[in-house]
Amino acid sequence: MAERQYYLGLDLLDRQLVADDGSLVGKVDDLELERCDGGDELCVTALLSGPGVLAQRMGRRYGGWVQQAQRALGRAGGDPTRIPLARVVSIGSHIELAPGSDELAGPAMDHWVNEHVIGHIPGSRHAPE
Amino acid sequence: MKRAVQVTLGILTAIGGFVDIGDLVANSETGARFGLNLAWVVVVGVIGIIVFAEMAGRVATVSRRPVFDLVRERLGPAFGLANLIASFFINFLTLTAEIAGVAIALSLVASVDYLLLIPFAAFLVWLVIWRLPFQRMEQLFGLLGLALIVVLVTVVKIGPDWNDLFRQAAHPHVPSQETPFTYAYFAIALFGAAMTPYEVFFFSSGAVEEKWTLSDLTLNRANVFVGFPLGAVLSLSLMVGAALVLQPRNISVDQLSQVGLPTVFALGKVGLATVLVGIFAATFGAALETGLSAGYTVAQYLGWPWGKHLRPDQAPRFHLVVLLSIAVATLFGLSGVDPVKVTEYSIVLSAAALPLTYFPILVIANDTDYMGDKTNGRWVNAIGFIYLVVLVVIAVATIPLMIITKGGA
Amino acid sequence: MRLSELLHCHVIDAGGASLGSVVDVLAVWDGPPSDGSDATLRIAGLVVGRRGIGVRLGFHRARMTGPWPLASLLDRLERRSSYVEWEKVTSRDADTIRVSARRSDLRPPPPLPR
Repeated sequence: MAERQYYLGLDLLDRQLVADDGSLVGKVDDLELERCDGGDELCVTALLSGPGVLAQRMGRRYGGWVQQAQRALGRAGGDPTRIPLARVVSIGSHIELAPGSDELAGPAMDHWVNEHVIGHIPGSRHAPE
Repeated sequence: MKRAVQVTLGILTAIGGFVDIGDLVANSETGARFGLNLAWVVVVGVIGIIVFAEMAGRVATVSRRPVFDLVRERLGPAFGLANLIASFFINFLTLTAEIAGVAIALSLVASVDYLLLIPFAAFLVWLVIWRLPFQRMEQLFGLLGLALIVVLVTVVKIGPDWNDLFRQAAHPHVPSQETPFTYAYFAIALFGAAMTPYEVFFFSSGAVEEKWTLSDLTLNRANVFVGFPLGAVLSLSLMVGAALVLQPRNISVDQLSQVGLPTVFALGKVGLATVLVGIFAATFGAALETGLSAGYTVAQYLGWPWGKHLRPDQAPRFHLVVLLSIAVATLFGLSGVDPVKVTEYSIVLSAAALPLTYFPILVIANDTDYMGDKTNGRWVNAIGFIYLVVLVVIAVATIPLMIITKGGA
Repeated sequence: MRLSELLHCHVIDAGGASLGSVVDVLAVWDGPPSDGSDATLRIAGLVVGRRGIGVRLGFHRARMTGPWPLASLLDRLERRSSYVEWEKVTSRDADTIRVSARRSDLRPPPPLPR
């Protein structure tokens, strides 16, 4: 397979992240860059996802606010979610990830909302019928 | 038969979206005030919504990415967020108006003040979103909404001179008691009522909810070409009915109940009962669509799991947004705001906000990365571009017109 | 560092003239995406320009089929933005990147047809 080229801003940033079971697990809010093998070149090492990352991208101050708010809510599982590049299966109209997405922030926040609100409403665990 | 049932997404989108409280009010109001001098706007509006919804449905079907996913992806997070806030706010106004509309329709039957019924109406809307499967929901309210065909029967029963009506509609002019500004303002209101953005949020998300695939592209087209023209015929019937019955008697429409007057005039009690069922179905359907759209837009912008095809505990943040939106809309409705005024502002602002969501869809519908060989054809692009220009002109003109005419007074 | 820190950096050419800012970054995937840990996504160059709108919308790629006249308009606009190979980056700090090329030697960003 030939090497493929991507415009990072256009083809990766803000794309939907989809887990191996088809569930939606967040957006690519930023990318982590590091020197490749200690050389002068830069490589993408991970996708970053989470409201804190997104807010920081729009302005450093907002990022701080979101992180404070999250600490106040006492959510487990630090922000940002870091998805190593090796976990990426395909890049297209969405980004498909390999199995093992438990540490993602999206599901963790869903869990929190379930525990505090939605899970208490009758019928939340039944498919609509 | 299976096919016939499958166009219910289009019918619900059209009945609960094209014909919602916005069209009920705007078409009756302009019919009573302007006769048929603004009928052409409904035609321009329906072509616009057909182009927009067909593109959005096709993009969602091919790429499984609905509108707000793409808004952020193509416009970037900051502009996308501004877009989200504007769209969410307008959608919230519409949701408030629709819930009030459901309560008003119920109050006309129950003979109690509609304010008392707002919490009940809102609860019903939430319950349907929480419990009823997507397809059952769209079939129930799509079919119930067909009761609105009574407004077409009304016009036929009155038996107007069709040639004369057609001549009036084909030679529009500004009536002597109106200014060009009020004429333009109501044109925008009608256009916004016909081409409301949430219809497209709902339709494109619905395509994903129903798991449409490439083989369903014909279904997408059928939905769009059956649903919206049907909505347009009903809208025009409302306008003609108002022009024939209300305008000669100098009755202006400032309450939702007056929408049914022409039907009562022509068809009596049976007509009234049928039109009430239709108004109920249309406003309830639209309340469902706007309630869901509140969740769709936020979830799709932030990448959360969303949709009615999931169990609520699989999409908790989506359901939280829907729940909170309905709750706050209920409070806003209870505060005693005039539902007709809220409706008028929501449709006018809808028209102003259209380019924000229309533009990214037009761009993505041309991106082979998403669309493969299903990109826009030449004709769709030609019409699509003309509408982009029209939408931008409207967006620029809306706020000044709103100020000059003091909200169409 | 993060990609967002690279985007919007100011870019200055060998003669000290401003080229605008980084509007997008081109990267190369060595090896197929699915073959595990060895695959790297290496930055190959920067798209630099004054306006990013056409790039943001994807009109610099050869994958857009329209709509006319928007496509040709934005495409023409994007020809004014230029592509700088990463090897030509001479220095880089928090908000400025210096490159060893001159504006006149630079070409528009590659269209990456599929």
